Amino acid sequence: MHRLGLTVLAGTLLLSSAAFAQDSNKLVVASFYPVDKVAGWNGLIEAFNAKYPGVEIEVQVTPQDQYLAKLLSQIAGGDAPDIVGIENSPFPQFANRNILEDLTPYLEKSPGFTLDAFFTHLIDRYTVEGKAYGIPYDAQPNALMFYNPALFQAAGVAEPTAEWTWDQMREASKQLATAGGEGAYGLCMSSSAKGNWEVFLYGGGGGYVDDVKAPTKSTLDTPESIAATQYYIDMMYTDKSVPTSESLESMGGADQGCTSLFLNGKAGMMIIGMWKAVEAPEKFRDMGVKVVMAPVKDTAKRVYPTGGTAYSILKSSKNKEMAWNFMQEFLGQAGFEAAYKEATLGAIYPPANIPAFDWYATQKIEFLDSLKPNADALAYIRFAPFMLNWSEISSNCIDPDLDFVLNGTTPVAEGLSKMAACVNGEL
Amino acid sequence: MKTRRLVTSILLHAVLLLGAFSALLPFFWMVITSLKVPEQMFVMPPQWLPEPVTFRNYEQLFTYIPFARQFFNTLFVTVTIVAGQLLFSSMGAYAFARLKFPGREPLFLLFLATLMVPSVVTLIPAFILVREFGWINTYMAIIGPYFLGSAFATFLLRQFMLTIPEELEEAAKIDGAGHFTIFRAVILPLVKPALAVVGVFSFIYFWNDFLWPLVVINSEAMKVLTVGIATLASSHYGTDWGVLMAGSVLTVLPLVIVFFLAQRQIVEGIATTGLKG
Amino acid sequence: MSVAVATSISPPRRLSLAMRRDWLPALVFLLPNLVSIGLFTLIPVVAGFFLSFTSWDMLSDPQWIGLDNYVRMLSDRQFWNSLGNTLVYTLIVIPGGLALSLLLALALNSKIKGTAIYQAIFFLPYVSSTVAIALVWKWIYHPDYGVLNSILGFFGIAGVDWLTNRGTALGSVAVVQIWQTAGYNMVLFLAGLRAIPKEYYEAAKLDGSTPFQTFWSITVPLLMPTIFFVTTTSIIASFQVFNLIYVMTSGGPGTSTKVYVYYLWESGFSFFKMGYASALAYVLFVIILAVTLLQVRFLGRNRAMGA
Repeated sequence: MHRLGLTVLAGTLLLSSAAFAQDSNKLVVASFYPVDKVAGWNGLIEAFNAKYPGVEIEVQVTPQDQYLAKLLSQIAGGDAPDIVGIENSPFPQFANRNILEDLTPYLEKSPGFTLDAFFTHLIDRYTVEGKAYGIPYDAQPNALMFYNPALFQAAGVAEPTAEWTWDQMREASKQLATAGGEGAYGLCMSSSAKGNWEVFLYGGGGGYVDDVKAPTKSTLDTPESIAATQYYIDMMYTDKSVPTSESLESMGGADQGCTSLFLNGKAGMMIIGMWKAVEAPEKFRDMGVKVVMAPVKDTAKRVYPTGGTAYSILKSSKNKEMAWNFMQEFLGQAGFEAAYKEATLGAIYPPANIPAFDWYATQKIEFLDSLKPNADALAYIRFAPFMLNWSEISSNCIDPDLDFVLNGTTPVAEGLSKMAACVNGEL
Repeated sequence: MKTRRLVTSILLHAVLLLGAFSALLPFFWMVITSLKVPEQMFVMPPQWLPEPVTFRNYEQLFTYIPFARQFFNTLFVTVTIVAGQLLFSSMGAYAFARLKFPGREPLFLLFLATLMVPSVVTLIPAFILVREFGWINTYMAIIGPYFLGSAFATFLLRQFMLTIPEELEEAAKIDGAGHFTIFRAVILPLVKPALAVVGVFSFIYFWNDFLWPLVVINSEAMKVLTVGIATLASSHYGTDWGVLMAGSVLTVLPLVIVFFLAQRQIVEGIATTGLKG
Repeated sequence: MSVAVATSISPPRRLSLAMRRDWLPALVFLLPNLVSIGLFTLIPVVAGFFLSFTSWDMLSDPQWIGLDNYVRMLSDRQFWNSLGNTLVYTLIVIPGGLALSLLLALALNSKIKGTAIYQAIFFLPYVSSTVAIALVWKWIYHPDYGVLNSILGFFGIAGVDWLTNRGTALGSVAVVQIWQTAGYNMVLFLAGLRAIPKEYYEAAKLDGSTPFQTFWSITVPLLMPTIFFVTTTSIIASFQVFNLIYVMTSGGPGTSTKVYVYYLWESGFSFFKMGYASALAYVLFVIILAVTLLQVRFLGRNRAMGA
């Protein structure tokens, strides 16, 4: 009976993997970067074709929310692209299924495009047992504190420095909120409710697990995690200088709510990554926004959450050499030059490739005072636990209680202990 | 008596007006949001007039996606599907409503049952089929699976056909008319309002359809509007709401027009077909 | 007689002679539908059924695991939570939605002025973008600036944080769905109402029936096929609600608005467990089918009582 069922199933599925004779001069790239400013696809393809004439590049751009649904359908359906962009969080799934090409040999024979040419912490995420399965595209830690100098001046508060700790930030936040009057805050964070909490969790020396690459137990119930969470809650509910998740949610969602507050001069400081500046460069320029590394509890122990994407070559690709050629252009300086040309005020996602990043740092950027904090922060980033089922564990163990912990319904220590016990049960 | 009627009428209109106001609000909101700059969009309390008014969102739409082409794609696949569904689903509905054949009831339940399986799980198998036909990235990928009728349209038309008294066909039967004649000359004219309803609903459904065209279409030139706009509005770290709203305004307008045109059919259809029971 | 046929999902059996005579034309009439639904819906549905007995990450081949997925569901907290949320959601949406859309249709079917324009306006939410609707309703529900709390405040009732309170979030979204689909169902009901021959009403008037009696003895029975259609499709739609939740609450606060298909999508495309997602889909399928069959019986009995 099993046999019969499996045969029918295998029939449907296998029919699909009967490989189509693929055009050897065509490369298919799957990405979620839209056709406009950031990736600069058209310029890139032109530059690539100048070097490798006759190669047809088809870029398939899918909105982020449905990207995996489409990519997985294509892979399962035997119509997979050659090069795929994969976000850091689902990356372990892809790396563990033996479907990605090991890029280490390619890197070894490509002078000027070795692993050393990338920020170490980023490369690390996409390397399993010494094999590089993905090359990072962007370098965007959730570690920048953008601030509005005019509000600092109006409130008579000294502008932040990279050496600020939480206590200085909290004091400034209170003063800014008071000076701003009705509906004003000092600080907000422009990520999801969970992402915003992570900024404090990591910044206060806490975290989800003891070792991101090989977790053995949860550290959500450590004194550091508890104190960090409590600090965040106090800023929201005692000082009222940071908007609560609920109030951000009613302003259109956690991230738009904070962005709106910041861009309208209702919050003097915003902690988030470079992408926020890239989304509204004109406004950032007009406001004269400046940036420092986000304050942490103890500057000797900096940790920041991060996002980011890597590109990989699928094993099923019939054209791996050409795919590698394209990756070198796309993820190297040429790709970012093409993006820069189409960008507004030079606002692009900062490259993970160090030569490209250095080149970008020398270009004219009008929307921000400095790129240095972004580069500095890269040394302190921490990704989500490298586990096949981390997103499921997080959804099972953290989501059900996080809102109650953050709004004070559940005492912090009790809530975090419950989450830690749940995570430990899954490990 | 007269005053009572007047009061009822005023109350009725008051309730209807309130409903109408709340129904118009999101539409109005779409239009003004599409004219706003980003930092103005999520301010509380909301700002009713865009200040400054910007056309940046519309410019982006026309610059970065082949808007005219994607509009044509959407129109072409939608009209084709709707035409096919009207013809083939009304045929199927006739069989279910009027013909007696073994297994009719289980077959009808089977049709209904296919509507009850969430499309998430049929996505990949359906993708594989369409790929086997070599339809990926062609109009056929979108049209093919629906052109010969859908369970939804057949179900709806069957229900309407059941409402029609069978006596109306007796005369034709006595004259020795076959099923095709009865279907074409008696039933189809009678279900005109239902056809208008199915036509409008299918039009809206396929015009707005998102996940399926997203999965089977790859190139910008072949994308339908919903997918093209979502692609442009989505960035890695969030959504460009202004662009999305500008796109929504332009996507919804044709639907509103179609509905306005068809509603006469829906409202007046039966009254003019001379259905006298 | 025609009314009786109309209200039943299974018209009475006829002579086998008719069956034999009709099967060929039936085949011809049904052939296009059979090709379309058989090929592009039924095959994927059957494939999905087999997948529900596998562990499948979509990146490697599916592994047969028998009933494991179904057994696992029993102890899956998220399964029960999302199922519970969905049932509550459906219980709010179905009666509320049917009543509202039927009332609107009846109001517009009476000879009041401006029917056409009202009808068009009520239909607008159905075609408007769900994102725009979500944003407007987030504003209506806003604890400090929202219209709803302002109105409550006018009557001296304390405001509620509708969408960010675990007790009210699900119901608040359900109200939006009722409002969004009211125009759509109203059009169906209107079309159904207009199809009822006027002579029936005239006859009832001559008999001296009150409007209320007329409604129950003529309108409702004659409208049964439409009511059956609207209820069935509404049940399917609210059991499978996804978009509205996705843009309004993303399943929060906590997991209080995480509905079934939201969890199903997550299982498939966030957790890479398409085998489990398929099993979830078939459990939902069985539930919807059972509800529909119950409804068939119920409506059938109703007909017997009305006739």
